[in-house]
Amino acid sequence: MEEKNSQDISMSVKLGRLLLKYPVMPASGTFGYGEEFIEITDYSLFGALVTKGISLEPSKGNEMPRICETPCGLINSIGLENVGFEKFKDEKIDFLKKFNIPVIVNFFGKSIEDYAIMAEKLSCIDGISALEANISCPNVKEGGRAFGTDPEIVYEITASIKNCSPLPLIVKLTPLVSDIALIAEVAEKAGADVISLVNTFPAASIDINKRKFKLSRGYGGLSGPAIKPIAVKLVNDVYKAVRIPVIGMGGISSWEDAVEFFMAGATSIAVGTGAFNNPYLIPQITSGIRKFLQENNFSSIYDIIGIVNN
Amino acid sequence: MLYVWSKNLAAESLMKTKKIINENCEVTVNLKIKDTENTYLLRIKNNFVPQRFIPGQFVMLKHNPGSSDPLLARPFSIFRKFNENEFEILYRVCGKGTDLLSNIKKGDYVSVTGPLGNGFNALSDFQGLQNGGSTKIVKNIHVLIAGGIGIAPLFSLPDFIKNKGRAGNESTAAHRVNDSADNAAHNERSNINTEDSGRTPSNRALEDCDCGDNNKFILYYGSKTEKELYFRYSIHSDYDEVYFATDDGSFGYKGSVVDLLFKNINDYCNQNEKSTERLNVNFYACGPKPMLSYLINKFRAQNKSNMSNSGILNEYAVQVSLEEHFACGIGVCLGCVVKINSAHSNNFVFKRVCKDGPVFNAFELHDYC
Ligand SMILES: Cc1cc2nc3c(=O)[nH]c(=O)nc-3n(C[C@H](O)[C@H](O)[C@H](O)COP(=O)(O)OP(=O)(O)OC[C@H]3O[C@@H](n4cnc5c(N)ncnc54)[C@H](O)[C@@H]3O)c2cc1C
Ligand SMILES: Cc1cc2nc3c(=O)[nH]c(=O)nc-3n(C[C@H](O)[C@H](O)[C@H](O)COP(=O)(O)O)c2cc1C
Ligand code: FES
Repeated sequence: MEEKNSQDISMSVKLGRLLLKYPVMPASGTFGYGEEFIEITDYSLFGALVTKGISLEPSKGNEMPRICETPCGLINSIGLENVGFEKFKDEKIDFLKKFNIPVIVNFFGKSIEDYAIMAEKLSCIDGISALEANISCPNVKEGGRAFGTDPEIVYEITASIKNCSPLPLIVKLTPLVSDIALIAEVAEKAGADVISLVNTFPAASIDINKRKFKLSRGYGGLSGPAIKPIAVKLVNDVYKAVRIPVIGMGGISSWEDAVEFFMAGATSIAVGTGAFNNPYLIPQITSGIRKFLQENNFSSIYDIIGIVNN
Repeated sequence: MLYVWSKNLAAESLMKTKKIINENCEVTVNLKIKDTENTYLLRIKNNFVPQRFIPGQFVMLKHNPGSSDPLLARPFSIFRKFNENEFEILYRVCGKGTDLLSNIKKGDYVSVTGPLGNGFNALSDFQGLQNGGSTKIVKNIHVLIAGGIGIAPLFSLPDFIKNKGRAGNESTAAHRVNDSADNAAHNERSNINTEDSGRTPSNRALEDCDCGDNNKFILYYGSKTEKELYFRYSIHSDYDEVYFATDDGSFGYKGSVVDLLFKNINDYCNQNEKSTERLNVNFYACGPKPMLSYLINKFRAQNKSNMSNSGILNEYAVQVSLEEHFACGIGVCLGCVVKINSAHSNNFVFKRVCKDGPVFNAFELHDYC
C-alpha cells in the first residue's frame, strides 16, 4: 500500500525541453565520463549523466598537488584536465549513450569563439541531450578573469552558443560575483534554457611549516559541505530573478541537503564532492526525497520547488 | 526496438562490472602493534574484500561515515586476508584522520570502499630479465623491497603468488571455480597491459611448471629505526631470505635498504650462461617517495651499465606502488596524477595513481622524484 503511494509521487522534472525522470544528477568533474562509478553503483536512479568539462584540444591539467582538504571542504585545482573533443567523440560518448539516461556534456573554452565552435561540434554528435557551458574558467584574452564575472561576456557567450547549437543549453555560473541575479538574468535574455550553480569558490590553503600554498597553483576551487549555505542562498537569488529552471549544487551530502535546494528554488540538483565518500549518494537522495514528499503529503517534486518564497 | 535492446545491454553490463563494494563494516580489532611507536592493526568484517583483492590494491576508509570533518575517506592498502569474512589493514598514525581512526573501538562501524586500484602484477611469465634460452627451466625470483609502512601492500604477495601457482597446477574444476574471480581480474589486467605494450598475455609459466618449487621470495625491509620494522621477528617464515636495514643502525644493516639491495644486485641481474636455469626476476617495491625515487634511479643506472650484457631488466621487471593524496580514490576527480612516459614522444602523460595505479612499472615513470 505504502509502496504504491511512493511510486505515485511524481519525481520527473523538465529542464527546458529536457525531461528528467529524477531530479538528481552528478556534478561535472566528479563523475569522469561515467566509466568508474558504474563499477560500484548503477545509474537507474540518476536523472542525467554529466561529463567532466571538455575543450577543443585535450588538456593535461595542472601540476601536483591538485587537491587539499579543509574543514568540511575540498579545494581542487585540477586545471580542467580532459581528453579533448576528438577523443571524447571517439572513445567516451558511446559508453555514456548505453544507459538511456540523458547525457549532459559540460564544456569550456579559452575564448568566446571556442565556446561557439565547441557547441557546434558537440551538436553533431549523436547521444547528447544537453550542453552545460562552464563559464567559470579564465578568459585568457581578457587578462584571465573568469568569463562568468562580466555580464556582457556572459550575454555574448550564451547568445553565440545558442546560435550554433539546437541543443538545450545550461549555463553554469561562477558564484563569486557581486550580483548573481544580474548574471542569471543576462544569460536568460541571451537564450539560456537552464541555469546551473554553484561552481566552486576560489580558495587557498597554506602549509605553515613549509610556508607555501598547499596546491601547486596556489589557489583552487572550494567545494563540499563548507559551501552549502552560500550555495543555497545563491540558488534562491537566481530562482527569484529568472523564469527558466535552475540546477542547484554545492555541498550536497544527504537528501535533506537536497530538499533545501529544492525549497530554495532548484528544479533539479547535482552532487559532486559528496559522492566521493558515498558512491550511493545519488540513488539515496532520489529515494530520500521521494520518501520525504510522501510523508509530507506532496504529490510532486514541483510542490516544494521554491516553497520558501511562496 | 533499439531502445529495448540497448537497455538490456546496459543492464547486463551493470551486473558484470560490479567489482567494488561500498559498505559500513564492523571493526573487530583495532590494536596498537607491540614494539612500535604508533602503528595499528585494524581488522574489518566484510566478505567481499578478503576474497577478491589482489595484493597492492587498497580500500578507501572513512572512520566517521556520514560526517563531514574530516571530509574525505583515506586510502589504505589491504594488508592481508584474516579469514573469508575479515581483512586487515596496517596503519601508521600521522595526522588527523589516522589519529581519529586509532580511537575507533571494536564493534564500531567504518565505511569501506574497495578493493580499488590495480594491485601488483603477479603473472610473472612476462616480466624479469629479457634474454634466455627457451629450453631452460625458469626460476622465478621475487624480490620485495619495503620501506616502513610500505610493507603493507607487499605483505600478502608471497602467499598470493604461491596460491596462484598451485591453482594453475590443479586440474580440478573446483579450484578453478574458486579462483575464477581473481583470475578474471588478472586476465583483464594483463589484457589492458597488452594494449599498452603489444605483449601477448599468457598463463604459460603458471600452468606449465610447478611454480611452488620454482618461486623464490626475498625481502629487503628498511626503515628509520627498529621500531618501524613491523613483524621483524616473525616475517621470515614467508621468505627464503630476509635482509633488514635501518637508517640509525638499530636493526640490521645501517643505511638505506636500497643500497643493501644493490650490494647483491648482481645475484639477481646476471644470468649464468652455463646454468640449466633461467632466472626470471621480479622486483616489487613500496615505501616513502625518496626511497622509491632512489630505487628507481639505481635501477635505471644499473640497466645502463649492463647494456652490453645479458643482465638487462625489461620494462615490467620493477613494480612500484605509489602514494598520493586522494579525494575520490576511484578515478573520477583527477586529483592524484603521476607523470608517465608517453609512448610517442619524450613527453609525458598524466595517469591516476588511484585507478591506473597505485602500482606502476618503474621504468615508465617520468622524472619521479
Ligand atoms: C594507495 C595508498 C595506500 C596506502 N596504504 C597505507 C597503509 O597501508 N598504511 C598506512 O599507514 N598508510 C597508507 N597510506 C597513506 C595514508 O593514506 C595516509 O597516511 C593518510 O591518508 C593520512 O591521513 P591523516 O588524516 O592521518 O593525515 P593528514 O592530516 O591528511 O596528513 C598528515 C601527513 O601525511 C601526509 N599524507 C596524507 N595523505 C597522504 C597520502 N595519501 N600519501 C602520502 N602522504 C600523505 C600529509 O602530507 C601530512 O604530512 C596509503 C596511501 C595510498 C595513496
Ligand atoms: C574535482 C572537481 C572537478 C570539477 N570539475 C569541473 C568541471 O570540469 N566543470 C565544471 O563545470 N565544474 C567542475 N567542478 C565543480 C562541480 O561540478 C560543482 O559545481 C562543485 O564542486 C560544487 O558541488 P559539490 O560541493 O557538490 O562538489 C569540479 C569540482 C570538483 C570537486
Ligand atoms: S583520487 Fe580521484 S582520481 Fe585519484
